[in-house]
Parts: sequence; structure tokens; C-alpha cells
Amino acid sequence: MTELPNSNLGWEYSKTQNLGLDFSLFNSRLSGTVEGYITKTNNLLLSVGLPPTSGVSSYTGNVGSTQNKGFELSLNGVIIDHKNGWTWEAGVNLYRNVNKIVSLASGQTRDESNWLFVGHPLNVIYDYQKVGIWQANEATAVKQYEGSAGQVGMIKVLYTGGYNADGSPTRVIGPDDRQIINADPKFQGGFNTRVGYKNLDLSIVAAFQNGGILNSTLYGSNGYLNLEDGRRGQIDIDYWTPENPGASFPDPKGPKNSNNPIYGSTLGYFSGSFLKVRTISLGYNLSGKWAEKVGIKKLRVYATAQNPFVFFSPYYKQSGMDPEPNTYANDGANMAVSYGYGQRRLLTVGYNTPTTRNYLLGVNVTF
Amino acid sequence: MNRNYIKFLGLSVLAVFFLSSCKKILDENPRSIFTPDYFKTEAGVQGGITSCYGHLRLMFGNGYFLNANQISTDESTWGQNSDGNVKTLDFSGVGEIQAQTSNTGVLWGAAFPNINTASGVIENGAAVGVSEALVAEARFFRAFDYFLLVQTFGGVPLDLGAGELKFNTSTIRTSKRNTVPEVYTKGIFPDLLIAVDKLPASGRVTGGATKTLARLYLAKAYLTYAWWLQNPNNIPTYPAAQRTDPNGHDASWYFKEAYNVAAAGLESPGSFGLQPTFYDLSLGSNDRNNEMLLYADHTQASATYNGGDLSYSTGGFSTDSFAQWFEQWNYTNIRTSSSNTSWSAVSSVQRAATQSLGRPWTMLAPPQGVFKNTFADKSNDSRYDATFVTRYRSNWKEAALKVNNAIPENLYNANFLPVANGDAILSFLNEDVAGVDYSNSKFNSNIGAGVLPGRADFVIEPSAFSRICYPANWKLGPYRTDNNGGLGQPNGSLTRPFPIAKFSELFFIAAEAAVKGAATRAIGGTYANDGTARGLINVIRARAGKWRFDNGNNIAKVQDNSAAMTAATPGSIDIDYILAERSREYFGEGYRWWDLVRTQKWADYGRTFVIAGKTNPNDWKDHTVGTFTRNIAATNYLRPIPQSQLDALDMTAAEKKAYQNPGY
Repeated sequence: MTELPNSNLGWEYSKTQNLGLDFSLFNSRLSGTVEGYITKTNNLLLSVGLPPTSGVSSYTGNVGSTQNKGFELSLNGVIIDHKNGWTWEAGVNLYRNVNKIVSLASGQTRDESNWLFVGHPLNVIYDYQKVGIWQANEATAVKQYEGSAGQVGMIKVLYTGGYNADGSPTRVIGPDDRQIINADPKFQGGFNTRVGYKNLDLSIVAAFQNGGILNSTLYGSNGYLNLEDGRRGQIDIDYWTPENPGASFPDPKGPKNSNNPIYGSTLGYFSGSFLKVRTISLGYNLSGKWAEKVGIKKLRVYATAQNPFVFFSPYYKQSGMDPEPNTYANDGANMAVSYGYGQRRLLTVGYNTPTTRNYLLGVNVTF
Repeated sequence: MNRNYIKFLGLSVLAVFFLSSCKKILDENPRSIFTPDYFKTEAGVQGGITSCYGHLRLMFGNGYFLNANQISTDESTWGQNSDGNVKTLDFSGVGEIQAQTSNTGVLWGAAFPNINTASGVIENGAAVGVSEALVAEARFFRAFDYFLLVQTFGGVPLDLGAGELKFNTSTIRTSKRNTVPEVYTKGIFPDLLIAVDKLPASGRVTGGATKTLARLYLAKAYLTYAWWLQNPNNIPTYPAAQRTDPNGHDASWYFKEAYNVAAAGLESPGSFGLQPTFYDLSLGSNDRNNEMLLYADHTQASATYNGGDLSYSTGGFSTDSFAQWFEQWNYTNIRTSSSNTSWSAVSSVQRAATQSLGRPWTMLAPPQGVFKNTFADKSNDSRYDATFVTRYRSNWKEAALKVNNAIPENLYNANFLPVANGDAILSFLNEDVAGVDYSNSKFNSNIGAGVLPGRADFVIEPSAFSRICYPANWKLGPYRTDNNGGLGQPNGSLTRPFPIAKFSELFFIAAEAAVKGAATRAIGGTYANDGTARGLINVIRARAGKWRFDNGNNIAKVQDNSAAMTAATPGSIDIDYILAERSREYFGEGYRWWDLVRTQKWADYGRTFVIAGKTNPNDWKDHTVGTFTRNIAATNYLRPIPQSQLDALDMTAAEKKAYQNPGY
């Protein structure tokens, strides 16, 4: 039996308060909206994992209530309006959503196996927090913090326990040192612009995100691409050696948890910031008597690049890959070691097809 | 015009509604989710029993489960290719065993869902009309799981959320651990007693639970509990409990009962018995023989029913059988020469799906003490030869290896002597000899093996057995009938049944109980003996002295050394001798950690071990011998409760700390 039925299952319902302003100024040359909202969801439906001793792995229940607060801004303007053949329109939008779990039905404030923490968003990472790499001059300290497995060159994680009088930690680093790390972005948005000159037009659409955490299974412990145990099948990283102490990936000779380096999951957390140009499209509208003779009403030739550029993304800088997630966390088909049932709502970068970069040349004909 | 159109459309739509019958409502019958009321049907109950057998695969055959039950004993240490978690369990300084990373949690995760399923069957079976014998199978499995849990973790919860030993459908997320005596007297003995009574003498299906199997586990549970009550070496228990039996008996009573139940099992074996030779017991073509009381079954016929892919398995925490890979080293590195004038290396022993070979993960390696002490007798006792792969034979023809575009008739091995396909390329010698040349300067085996004058095969002496190169466990190797003259599919999940319980163990249990003071009596039946520890062990040793086939030399050998074997048995048997015999009988099958923990000898037997490769275990040529020590504390006799259990509990931090075993 894998999932228990829940006779107490009820509907999830939300109450929203929304305040907005739509405006348009300067003879509709500038228009925009500003909106703020608070949505409170009660009886949130979520899959919850049970402890192994229940004999059943999970059930779907009304596990708690959440709150989403945020604002949205958008501004659209016609900057040049058919002057000398030129037109230029631009628009930008910005939004920020703050999600928070308000309460859990069980009355707990922390559910460590399902990663549900009151006061934190649904999208969290509950793991050790990497603060660096143990350097060569910390050889005694690493043994104090990590026990006999401690070695210089391994990942240094945050310790939150107490200290003795001489400065040494009272215990080794353990499960109590796991942190709740909010993974939601600070703000997101996009902009678009269209420039036209007579029959020629260029449009650009872009999206951006600031903050948040991108969980990449390619670099973390849910995949086998960053085992650091050999060059074959290993993703390209800058790893620590005594001669290369500034690297951010640990020493390959370091201690392992199963096949991955200890605390290797922290290697998969990247800042989620990026600015992506989604499309750039250059088009030319052909017209003329010859077209009408053939019966063509409209003819447009265009070249489009989709996803051509990514800027400001630490993940793109490290890997050259798209900084947006593409897999659910417990999708075993797209990662070597999937997350547990309680984390299936979370998003990660898995092995499946990433966003592609496309270059298109096309003709639009209307008869 | 438009208005009429709309009217007409509107009318037609209405007409459709009223004129057609709206009786077709989607009636769903989802088949991928099973809910508790399924257990109230006969199909559900039978499905539940089948899943009891199925869950065995999550443990027996799982390499990490084998790792947890073999490593850190005198039988196994970590092999060269081990991952961090495998090495940590060896207690030899690589890391500390931890709740969140340890492979010892495999059992915890597999047992409780099965216990709950078994409880569901037991509660609903009678109402549904299923026979008592079938319900007794579920009782057996529930007790079986509790027995494994209590040996590994100490006291465990009897109440999964709906009451003691009740089928749980609640979503309660608290848990309370019962004490060890409570688990034995409420969760294990009653179910096994019913199982002994109601199970048939012969399995409902081949490999089904039987009276004899239930007797074996009842006797073993009595024996283990008696050791726990006596506690000669002061090993702590958790949750805290007095060493008194709630049913009012003492240790000697349980030793006596263990003996009696085992003796009854020996006298009325039903359809079971001992195989004529030890070789036949583990021979792939003789699987599911009459000595096997219980196994985790697999099949070559279908990947779905096998529980693992037949051609490429990733070996994870599922129903794959891949434990044997742990005990095989990377023999594919062996090189032989295609020319007898200058060394031109070719791969003569390739990965194949045969019982001696298979897929090499090299994660469990036997220390040298196994070969020099445990298996000191390699000539009279057939068990050494039928446990280990001592010769690695060439299979280049099956591999279709080509030299100059043709499959060669001969290759040239040590001393440039010719070898034919199927000849031994590498031999692990029985004892150290003088004059072995390990330089590999002229004849480069590529695995640091040695050369003796006049021999075509490379040789390695026992003092050179290392973490990277050692005799593999033959007993668990793959066996397929679909190789079709080629190498077959060695990377697939193993399709053989993985052994869990054997008839022979009844002898050992009775002998151990006798050594611990149980009154003995003459045992009748097919395996008649005087019933003393020596008499019982001698039945096993007599069988071990019988040869039908020489596994190492791959040739028939009919010899009966029973008399010599039984004469060599010491006059008075002690626990150390029984443990040594158990190692000879069950080496590498996952018995050892439990045997050493039951007899409280783990720290003694595991304290030091000797293996080569001291300086660099990854270097084939490193034959320097090292003595390693292990740091096993008394609190390590109980494994840590997995962190995933503690995380999922809805209890205070202090309660969770109290839930965990001390020392973790």
C-alpha cells in the first residue's frame, strides 16, 4: 500500500485581496498597471510523506495554510510614434511574490522530512549550507568539526552548535546543522521592445530574475556527473588542490558519502539570477504591385533567434546551460537519485532536454 | 440571417442534450493505487501475501544490505572500489557511522511497510475466507521482519499507528519503541508458534513458507533472545529494559526451547534436507533445491517479474539483485599475450554472465585470515573450493576476440606458455609458495599477479590477496541459460534466487544451544546423530567432506572425506568453533554480522584484520601486507535509527533524541 486514502480530504480554498491601478497618460503614449495582492490559501492540498514506521509511505492531505503577498508593475510606452518612419515601443514588467507557510495542520512548526517550515516558503531547501572549503592550515580544525572523516579540501558547512572554552566545537557537524534556505526569487520580470523603421522591424523579448536558488542535479548529489572520482563522465569544474586553494569545488580525494563527495548536495545550489533574452526577431514586410499581382496580401520575411543570450547568471557562467529548472525533484527518469516523496513539488535542473537555442528564418505569406 | 443561425444552433445544442442519453458517466477503476479496503477482498489478501515474498528482494540481493551484514567482521572488509558509505561501516577509520548516511537503514525502510501489509492480511484473511495456512504465511513474515529489526536496532515499535500489531491506516506521525523483550514475546514468538502449527510441511509453491522454515526461525529467535537475556559480555540494549523475560522464563529455558524446536525441525524435515554435496547446494543449475528453505526469488523469463532489468541494472535501493557484484573484483583487467615472442596484451577473461564471473563492483574483500584460518583445510573440506572462485578462466572465444581478424586458437600467458579457451589464466593459490615473481616485467598480467616457472597461469599467493584482487564468492554468482555461447548479459540484475535460509542452519542452532547448556537428546530421522553439539556439527562436516566436482579445476572429482572431516572435529565444541563452522558454511552470504552480534563476539573477531595493498589499495602491484584495526564500541551493536525516520516524526527534539539509539 503506497498511499493512504484520506476520508477527511477537503477542498483547498483561497481568499484574495487585490488592489490595482491601471493608468494611461500622455494620450495613451504611456500606460501601465500597478497591483498589490494578498492571497491566503487554507486547507492546502499537498502530498505528505509518513515515517517508515507507519508502514505506508504517504497520503494527500489538507496540510496547512499559506499566504502569497506581492505586487506587479508593468509599464508600456510608445516612445516614438511613426515619426519619420520610426516607431519604438517598449514595455517592462516587474513582479515580486512572497510565499509563506502560515500554519501546518499537524500543529508542527517544522516538518523536516517534507521540508515544510512555518514562516518559510513552500519552495525551500533544507540542507547544510556551504561556507567554503577547508584549507590546508585548518587541518586540526577540520577533524574537530567532522570527526575522523574530516580532511582538508572537503566542503566546509555552517556549524550552529556550541563552542568550548578553547574555541573548539562541542560536537561534530550533524543533522542539526541543516539550514532552511529560501529558494524563491526576490523579484522577476520581463521587458519587451519593438523598433520599426518603415518596413523593417526588430523586436526583443527578455525575462529576468533576481535571487532565488537553482538546484542543479548535474552538480549536486542527485546525479552522477559530479562524483569527482575520475575524468570520465565528470562535469568540468575547478576543484581544490593544495596548489589551487581558491577553487569552489572540493578535493577529489576527499571523503565520500556513497559515490558523491560529502555535502556534495551543496554543490548543486546556484543563485537563480539571470537575464535571458528570449527572442530577437528581425523582420521585413515586403509589399508592392508585384505581390498584389500574384494575389499575395502580405509577405513578411523574418529571422528569429530564440534564447540567444543569457546574462548575469552564475549558473550559466559555470555550466553554459540554461538557468531555469526543467524537472520535478522526484522524477527518477531525469536524475540518478531522486528526492523523496515529500519534495516532489520542488523544481530542479535534471537530465532532460534543456531549453534549446533556435535560429529561425521564415517567410509569412497571406493570400 | 445571423439571428436565425444562432437560434438554430442553440436549439440543436439543447436537442443534443435532451435527445441523447446522458447515462455514460466515466466510471473509474484505477489500478495503480491500492487502498486499504482492497485487503477486504480475496485478491487483496493474496496480493498482500505475494508482496510479503516480494519485499524480501528489497533486502536479500540488495548489495547495500549485504554490505551492512558482512563488513567489519572477520569475513569482509571494504573492497578497493567501495563508496564512502560502504567503507564507513567497516569501522576501520574511514568515517563514522551516521544515522543519515548509513546503509543499515535498508532494513528499516523495507520491513515496516511489509509488517503493515502482513497485519492487513492477518486481520482480514479469515473474514475473506482465505485458508489459515495462507494467513500463517503472513504471520511468518511479520515475525521474520520483527526478528531482523530487533537484532539490528534493538526494540522497535509494535504499534504502527492503529494499535499493537494492527493494520495501520492512520496518518499518525508519532512512534514509540517497545523494548526488546516486548518485541520478542509479543511480536515474534506468538506469530511463529502459529506459523509452526499451521504452515504446511511442503511449500504451497516452490520456495513458499513451510513448517520447517518457521521452526528454523522460531529456534533462532529463541536462541538469540536467550543470548540477550544472558548477556555475557555486557552489551547494552535500548530502549532500556531489564534482562528478565515477561513470560517468566530464563535464558536456559530459551536455550532448551531453541534446541527442542530445532531438533523437531531436523526430525520432521518435510520435503527438505541436505544436498549431497556442498557444491550442489549453490550450483546455479540446481537452484531452488531441497536445502533452500527461503530465498528472494528472481527469474530470467521477464524483467518485470524479475524485479530488475535483465541486461543492464543500476543496482539501487529497489528489488534488483546485485549483491554478488560487491564480492567480485575487476578480473577484466587481466591481460594475456597474443604472441609468444613479445608481450602483446589482449583481454582474455571478459565480463560474462557465468557463476564464476559477473559484474565486478569490488566493494567487499575478504581479509587474509579467511583463507589462512577459517578455510585452512582446503583439501578434505570441499567448502573452500565450492565457496570461492579460485581460477579465472579465459573466455575469449565467447567474447569473439579477434587477433589479426581471426579468433585465435591459443593465446600465450605466463612464461609464454600457450593457453586454450577455457584454461585457467589466473589461479589463487591455496598457500604461500616460494619463488613467485610478481615483477610483471616480462609477462605483464596487468593485475600485479605472479609467475611461477613451468606454469601457464598467473598465480597469486594468499599473502598477496588484497582489496583489489581476491577470490570472489562463487556461491552467489549469476546463472543464465540465455548466453547462447556468448558472454551473455553480465550487467543485468541477477536472475537467481538469493539464499535467505537453509535447512543446514537447524544443525547449527541446535549445536549452539547445546553448547550454551541445553539438554541434548539423540536425534532420529534421516540425519540421525547423537544430538550433542559435536554430533550435530559432524553431520554438516561429513557432508562438507563429500566431493562430486572440483570447482577450481573444473573437472569431476568424486571423493568422500567424511570420515577424515568428522575425526578432525574437536572433542568438545565451543562457540568459537561453531562460529568458524558457520563461516565455512555461509561465507559471504550476509549471516556474519548477525552471528557475531548474537554471540557478542563482534568486537573480538573484528578487532584486527590483515590484507595486502597497505600503501595504496588502488595499486594492483601493491602487495605490502598491512594489519588494520577496527574501533567497535559496545554501543555499535545496535545500528542507528535512520535519520529519515526521525525527520518524519512529529515529536519534540528531545523525544527524537530519545528515539535514537545511544551513541548516534
